This record gives sequence, structure tokens and C-alpha cells, in this order.
Amino acid sequence: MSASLLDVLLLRAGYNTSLVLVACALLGGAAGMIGTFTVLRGRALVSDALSHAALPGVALAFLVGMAVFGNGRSLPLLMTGASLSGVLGLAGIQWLTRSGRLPEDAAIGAVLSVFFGVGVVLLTVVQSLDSGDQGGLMHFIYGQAAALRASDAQAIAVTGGGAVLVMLLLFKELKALTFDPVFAATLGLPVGRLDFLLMLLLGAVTIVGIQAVGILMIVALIVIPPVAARFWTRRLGRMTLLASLFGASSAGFGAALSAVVVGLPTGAAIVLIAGGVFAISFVAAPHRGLVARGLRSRRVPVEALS
Amino acid sequence: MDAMLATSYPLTIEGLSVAYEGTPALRDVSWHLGRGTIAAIVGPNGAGKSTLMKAVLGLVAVQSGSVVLFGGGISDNRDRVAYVPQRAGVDWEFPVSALDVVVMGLTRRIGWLRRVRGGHRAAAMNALKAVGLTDKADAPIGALSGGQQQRVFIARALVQDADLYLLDEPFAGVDAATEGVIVDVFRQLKKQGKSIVVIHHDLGTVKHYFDEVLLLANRKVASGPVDETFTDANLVAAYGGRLAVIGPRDAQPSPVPA
Repeated sequence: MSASLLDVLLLRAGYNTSLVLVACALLGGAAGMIGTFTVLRGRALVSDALSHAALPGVALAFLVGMAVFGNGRSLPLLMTGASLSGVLGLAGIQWLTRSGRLPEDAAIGAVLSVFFGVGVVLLTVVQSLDSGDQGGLMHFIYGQAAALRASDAQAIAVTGGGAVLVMLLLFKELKALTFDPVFAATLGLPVGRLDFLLMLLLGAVTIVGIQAVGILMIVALIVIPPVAARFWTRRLGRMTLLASLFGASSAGFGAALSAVVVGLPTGAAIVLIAGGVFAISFVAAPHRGLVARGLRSRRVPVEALS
Repeated sequence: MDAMLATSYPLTIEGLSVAYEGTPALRDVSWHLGRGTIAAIVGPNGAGKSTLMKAVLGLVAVQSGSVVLFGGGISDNRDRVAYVPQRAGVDWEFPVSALDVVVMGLTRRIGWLRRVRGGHRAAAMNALKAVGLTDKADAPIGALSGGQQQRVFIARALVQDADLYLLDEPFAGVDAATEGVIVDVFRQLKKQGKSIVVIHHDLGTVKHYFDEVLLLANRKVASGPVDETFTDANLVAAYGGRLAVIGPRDAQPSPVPA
């Protein structure tokens, strides 16, 4: 890779690289925004379950593509497979929670690891096929934004931008739903449909993002930005905005970094940057940060601390 | 019951039964509430009080019987009914201010795709004023005391400008000042001809705060004006041997500021 990090960030490293960067930033912004609502609604792990459960679908869709069209690496096909098996995984979690009376976290753990295991086995099968372009499939695990085609990047950008637009238009309703769903229902808001929409947006952002960010780390892009943003503000609007900015910059920088550093998976780069943002927020944020709280507690008499 | 009369009542319940996973929570409850009435629902834990309120609001499935609000169904009367849920049901660390929470009461009235405007915030400030919390409008809800949080919930219901108010244990765990404010709000609403139903636990204040009482123990034990209905015999029927644990029944209410 000959372009420098600065060239990449300033969108001077060619059309494709620039497109990928913009797409990743939009994806990160959408992920931070949808993450704010899902974290506050207590559904953060749904994204993790969904992405892991998507892997067998990706591999199966590739195999179907090979058998039918002679080429498996078609984005619509792979995304369809990912969505189908992701939804199957979520349905499995719901079934285990309701009928098997398992706690939800245990059900999520069981389903996501089994689906992921099946996916890895299927990927091994795909690897042995020697079709020439199955290498791209491994990117689904760790993420490789540089390997995105222009059409992939456009799909990510459109999905991310669309999700942000929908959430902005329904912000007031989503706020009421997330804070107090029972009260929202008594107002006559269609809480079931709004909740479903939230899950749909989360699912779309997750599925469309796994190719760039990777199955293992997409959850970080959903969870870390809102959690970091929470340290800086006590208002939902500002938290949403900050989470979007944190997500967009983490994803943008991460994608740029992985474009410059040969062999660095995008997901890892994004998570490292998001983790840095979180660490700074945790320590340095006014009021809620570690330093601010430490300074405050010094002023409190010792007996009040125990 | 006379059909014309039934349509004029804010709330009419006929033969209402509700069950959770086969376990009956309410059996054959009939009750009605007049205009400008403050009513208490009283009964032991698990008597179906919250369930009754949720059935009225259409939040739980009704097994049999009917709920009529202002002569219609709940879906036709959403904007005439305001609900104050139990305070414990929400995350008070949620990143919103007191004013934000009150504005949420207007979500439906503002309408889809429309923004919260100055007029909406002014209406919410008015509601906060009615519960004595104007100075806390911008405070994060997590920084408020339990009593203040309850008052924010009351303000959220007030801003809905409803005709029937349903409150689930508004006095639970609040300070005396808040209790006084809430009782004052009830009396203001009653003066405007609004009707109020309150799930209530403090048997000592029933006679001071309420006009009517509905005694529940999964079925209706008794209902009617407090003086006639809130009797030892009916209380024993509702609570059984557990009554002694509930405490004195004629304690003085908290002082209500004028």
C-alpha cells in the first residue's frame, strides 16, 4: 500500500478507498445511534448474537451461489444468507428463553457459539473448494474494509444513511419507547412495531457491517460509542449525537488505518480506536469520569463514603 | 345498568376476568366510576389491583367481560386517559431531564414527524409548576429524590390533559411534602370534573383522600362511597387474617400545604 494515512483520511487515495472510508464512517455513525437506543433498552447483546448467527448463512449462501451461478461472492446473496441465519439464531434464542426457560444471556451464549461453530466448519468446506475467490469470506470474521467492492461500500453507505434518517425522524417516539415502553403504549404509540423497527435497523446495520468490521467485532461498534458518550452527557439527544460521532470517527479512522497497515483487520483497528475513546471518556469526562468523581469524593467527608 | 348512564361514566367495568398463564388474577369484577370522583383501589398484595388498571388501559388481555371508557373502547379514548405507572418500572439513570420526561406525555399529541416546539415545552413547564418542580426542569431525573421523581410522573400525566387519571401506587415511598402535593393535584383535578383512580396501600389515609373505594381480592369484595364501604367487615373480607400486619387504619394523613 503506497498511500499514507493522511492521504487516505483526506480522501486522496483513490475513489475506491475514499468510498470505503465514507461508507465505514456512515456505518459507524448509524451503529452509534442505533446502539444508543439498544444499549438503553437493554438489548446490546442482540447484535452480537445476530452477527455470530449470520456466519453459517454467509457460508451456505456462498455454496449455493457456487452451485447455481458458478460464483458465490455476490453481496445480495451473501446478505440474504446472513439475514436468514441471523434471524434463525434470534428465533432460537427466543425459543430457548420462552420454552426452555433459560436465562436470556445463557440462551444467547449457547446459540451464538453453536451457530458460529457451524459457520467455521462450513467455511472450512468452502476453503477446500478451490473456487478462486472464496478468500474474501474469511474477511467476514475479522473484517476487511479494503476488500470491499464499490458496490459493497455503496450498500453499506445507503443502509447506514437510511438507518440514521429513520431514527432522526422517529427520535421523539423512540425516546419515549426506550425510556418507558408501558407508558408509551398507554399514549397509543405502536410500541410493538417501533420495537420491531429498532430491531430491524439494528439487524440491517449489523448484517451490512460484518463484511467491513467483522462478525467478532461489530458488536463493539454498536455498544462502545453509546457507552462512551454516556460519560459526557445526561441528555439523550446529545448522547445520540456523540455516540454517532464516536462511532463514525472510530470506524473511519479504523478503516483508514487498516487500508494503510498491511494485514491489519479493519474490525480490530476500529475496536482499538473505539476502545481508546471509551478509555478517555471513562477517565476524563466531566462529572461522570473517574478523575471528576475522584476530585468530588475528596470534598466529601470520609464517613459519607463508606 | 341503564345504557345512557353507562356512556356518561368515565369508566364502566362489567364482569371482568383476567388470567396470567392459566392463573386467575381477576374474577368477574364489575365497577363503575362517576365524573369528578377520586377513587381508591385497595386490597392485599396480589389482589389484582395493577392487573385491573392494566386491563382498563388495554395492556393485558381480557379473558371475559368488558371495559367501557366514556362509552367507547380504550383505543378511541387514548387522549382522554392518563396513566402513572409505578416508579420502580423505569431506569432513573436514563439520560433525560425532568422536562424531557414531561414532554413525553405530549408525544402522541405532537404527532409523527413533528418536532417538540416551544409551546409544548411551555405546557410541560406548566405541569411541572403544578407539582412544584419548576426549579428542577433541567435536572437529570437521576439527580431527583424519589418523591420528586414521582411528581415528574404526575406532571407527565397532567400535561396529557386527560379526563380520567389512573395512578398505580403514587404514594409509595414518597416524602410528606410530595404526598401533600399529589393530594392537592387530585383535588384540583376533581374540581375540573376529572376522575381519578388510585391504587393505594396506606389504609390510614383512605378516608381522608378518597370519595370512593373499590376493595379487591381477585374478586370485588365491595365498592361504593368510602363511608359506607371502607368498613371493618369489608376489610377483613378483603385482607383476611393479614389485616393486622397492614397497620393502623385511622392514622392522621400527612399535612397538606394550603
